[in-house]
Amino acid sequence: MMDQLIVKNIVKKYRRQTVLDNISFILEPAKIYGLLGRNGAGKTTLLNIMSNRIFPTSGEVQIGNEDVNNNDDLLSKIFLMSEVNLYPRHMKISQTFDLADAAYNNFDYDLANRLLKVFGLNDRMKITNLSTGQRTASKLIVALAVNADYVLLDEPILGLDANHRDSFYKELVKTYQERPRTFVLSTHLIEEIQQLVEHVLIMDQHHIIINEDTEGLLAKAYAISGPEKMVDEYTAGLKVLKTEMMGNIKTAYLLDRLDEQRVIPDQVKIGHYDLQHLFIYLTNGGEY
Amino acid sequence: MKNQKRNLVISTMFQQAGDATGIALGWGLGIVLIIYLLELIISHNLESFLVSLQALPGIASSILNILLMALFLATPYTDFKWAIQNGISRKTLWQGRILSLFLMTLVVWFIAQLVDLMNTPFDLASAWHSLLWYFGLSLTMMAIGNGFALLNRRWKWIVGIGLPMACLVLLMMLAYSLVGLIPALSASGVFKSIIISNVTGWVILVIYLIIVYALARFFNNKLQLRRD
Amino acid sequence: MNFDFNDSTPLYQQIADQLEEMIFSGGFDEGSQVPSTTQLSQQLHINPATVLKGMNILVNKDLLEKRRGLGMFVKKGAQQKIMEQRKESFYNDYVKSLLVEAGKLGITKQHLLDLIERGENDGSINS
Repeated sequence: MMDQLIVKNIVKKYRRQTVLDNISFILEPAKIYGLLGRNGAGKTTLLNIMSNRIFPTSGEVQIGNEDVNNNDDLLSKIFLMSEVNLYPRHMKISQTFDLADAAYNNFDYDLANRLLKVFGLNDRMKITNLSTGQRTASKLIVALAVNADYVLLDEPILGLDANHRDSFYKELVKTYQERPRTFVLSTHLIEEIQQLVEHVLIMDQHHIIINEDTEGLLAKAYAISGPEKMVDEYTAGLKVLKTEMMGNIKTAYLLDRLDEQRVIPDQVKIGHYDLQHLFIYLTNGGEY
Repeated sequence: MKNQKRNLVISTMFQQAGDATGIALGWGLGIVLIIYLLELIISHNLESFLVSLQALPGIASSILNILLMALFLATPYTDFKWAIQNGISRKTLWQGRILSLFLMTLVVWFIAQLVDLMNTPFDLASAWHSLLWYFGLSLTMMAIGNGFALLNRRWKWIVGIGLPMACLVLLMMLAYSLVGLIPALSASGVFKSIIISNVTGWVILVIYLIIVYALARFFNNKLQLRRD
Repeated sequence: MNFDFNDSTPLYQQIADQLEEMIFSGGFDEGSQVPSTTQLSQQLHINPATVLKGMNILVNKDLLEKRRGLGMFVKKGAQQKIMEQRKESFYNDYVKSLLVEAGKLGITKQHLLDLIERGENDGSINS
């Protein structure tokens, strides 16, 4: 039975600037999460704190009620694939595999070797000689083959072309089914991962503003359109994120449950909108 | 799990040290040898050449000494990075590094002793003393290296120049104040016996070792991914 | 299979609907095996939990059955069941909107009946 990963009241300040303001959430075992946020929202800082690379100003990261800080057994359950490269530049890809195997045990070499072919790499290549896309791919391979319960991926598709992104998603789902564990995808390409993530965490202005199951969240993402007065009447009191006008037709984007009592006029159409747009409306600085 | 990771640190450090040693010795001895050979070719003095060759072990030993210092001065941050990437805690990283330092210092000291034996007979006291000095030197390098690993580029400059300056000024002030004290204290026989005693030297060295070990460890545990 | 994330229907429902359509139109023969959750989720990169939910809807509708150790199979008589279910909802799915649209366009009941006649005689419609 895997333990939860608990992020408890994490605050991170650099001098007078607050980057993370009392962040708390729980990661369940064997679930795919999406961590979304604009540039500078603090996603990378949060992931770095979760993997003990930097220290929070206050707060804790725990697995099974024990602090992960300086705890080898717990750190062996977490793996972060980050944008920056932490391996010595002249290291070969094969050596990154061997390090992960020696530190985490049971590195899936079969999977790793197969993925090398999928991404067109060979393990004798040196990290310093790889292009951006190749570097991302080599780090991805380690992240998918490493034996950790919580695998955090910071911008996993940076520099990958469409074909490789497709391969990555397939391989992610495949290894997730074969060996269920938790993945956290932190990315900007929300459209492509919407159907992959079971649970969404959205960061904005140094807080977590959304922490919900994707399905439940998107079920509340209604796009109501019709004549302006009718739409306003129908959406009165509900949480409207943004409105648009085209001619006489107004479209209101909601994040709320619909009131069953309210009558829907014939001219008012009810549809849905996707996660990417929800994210944009939520993080646009509150203007709508 | 912890031991496994610690051993991984040690083996990786030895691997890196081995590579660096190979390159340094190869180049260092190689160049020196070429110079001697050139001398031989020019002067046709075979005896002189053979005498020169005797200097090679000493040169090799010196190279190893420098490498040891350079290794612990330059690698703290790079080692921290791949270690934390693989979920190795700072505690275990420290254990691996201090053990590597201990073993490597022993090796370098041992080689230096062997080289010395070519010229001077074995003396237990001086051998011991030199071992402590070696540890002192490598621990100092580790402490400095670890300390610098905490700083970003700007602060490296500030501390790199500022701290030695500050130390120099402090030492000079100390020296001046001691000079002032000496006439008054030289009368005190106790003070005389403390300074002259051999034991004081040892005690100071051991205290220094403890301080510098603690500093190195303290800095190690404060290591974080830098933003620069 | 195609999915529209802007659609009113949640993804798992879309999966259920499209699979059901394929069963109805003969894309899957009765008694034959349908792609597993594993295959579908990998192929379409959709979270397995979502795919499973969609398939379970069809299991609950008695159209698919799980055969232990083998996979998901189309039940005998599934096509017929779908037909009956759709007949039941024909009124809601088609007739209601037909009447609403006709009302908007001012098409009378008689006119509607004439149009249906026309449709029956139209060779280009298979029925």
